[in-house]
Amino acid sequence: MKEKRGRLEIIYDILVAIQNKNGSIKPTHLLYKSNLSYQRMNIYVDELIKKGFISKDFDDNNKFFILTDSGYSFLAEFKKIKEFTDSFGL
Amino acid sequence: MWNIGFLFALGLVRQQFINHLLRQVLEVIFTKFKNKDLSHLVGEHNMGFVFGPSWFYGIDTIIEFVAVLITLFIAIYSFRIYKLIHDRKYLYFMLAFLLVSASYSIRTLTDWLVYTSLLGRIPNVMAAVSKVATVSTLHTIGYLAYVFMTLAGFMILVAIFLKIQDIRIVSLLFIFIIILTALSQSILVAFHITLLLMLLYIVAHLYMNYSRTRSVSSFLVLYSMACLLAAQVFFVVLTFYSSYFVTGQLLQLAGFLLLLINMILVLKK
Repeated sequence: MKEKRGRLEIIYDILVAIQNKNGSIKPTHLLYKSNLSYQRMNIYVDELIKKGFISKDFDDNNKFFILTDSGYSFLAEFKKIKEFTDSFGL
Repeated sequence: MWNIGFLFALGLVRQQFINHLLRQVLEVIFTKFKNKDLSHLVGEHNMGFVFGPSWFYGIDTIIEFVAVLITLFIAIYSFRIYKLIHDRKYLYFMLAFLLVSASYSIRTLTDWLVYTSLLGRIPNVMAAVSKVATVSTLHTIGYLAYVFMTLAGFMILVAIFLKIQDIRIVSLLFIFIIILTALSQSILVAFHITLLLMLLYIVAHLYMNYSRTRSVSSFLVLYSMACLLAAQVFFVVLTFYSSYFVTGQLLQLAGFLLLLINMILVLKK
């Protein structure tokens, strides 16, 4: 059985999902890609907006989530964080 | 009357003999001082002032300082992760390594104080006694702080690795540490045995982690903690064989250096 994703992996999956869509994704697509419930996804999205990793954008009444420069930096840093976490078994 | 005179003379001779013995003991201690050997000195709580051979004085302080820097480095990196993802686990991990770093800082300062105070020029026996008395109090406070902070730091690590989230259990473990620090007759032996037991749990966790990930970094962390565990074994038997101190310290240094290598590899990714 696959292990439950930690907070770090969930944040990473959300950001990668946006990155794979050229840095901009619709909420419904993100919901599908992140494999989270609607409520849980909103909690993470709000937090990522607060941290400045993503931002909200509106285009023809459609909502989008945009990956910011900090978000791209975090994705670059993620490998290091993951290695650190795995080395200690955190 | 004759009997009283005889007893008085006998008492006088005895007193002179005791004084002679005391003078000889003090002379032996002072000669050792002059030869830069502090191994005979024992402070409160049965704590020796120094543990290794005289050629190792100062080298142990450098090893402890290396431990301060490496553990501080890990604490800072962990805090950086916490600031990025706000996961409390990394905050506790930072706190654990910060406590270990602080404990080694205190020990470094205490040992440095002992070496600089007692290995300097001491003119006579009375000056030596006065210096030992002054250093003894600071040494005891420093070592008690070192013992408590190290145990608290490793206890937090055990709580993180064993996923103990119930605050009541964590507080109970803290109480045990306080009791151990405050009431132990032979504080350092009790300290090293407790740390050894904690490290057993940590190494078991890291072994399972390595079995799962099979990565170089998890291997390095496993061996670093195994080195610290082996070092504790040597520190426990130190009471009987003082030469084991050097082996223990070198194992400890190897453990911290493996942690540093792991951090370098992590940051190179």
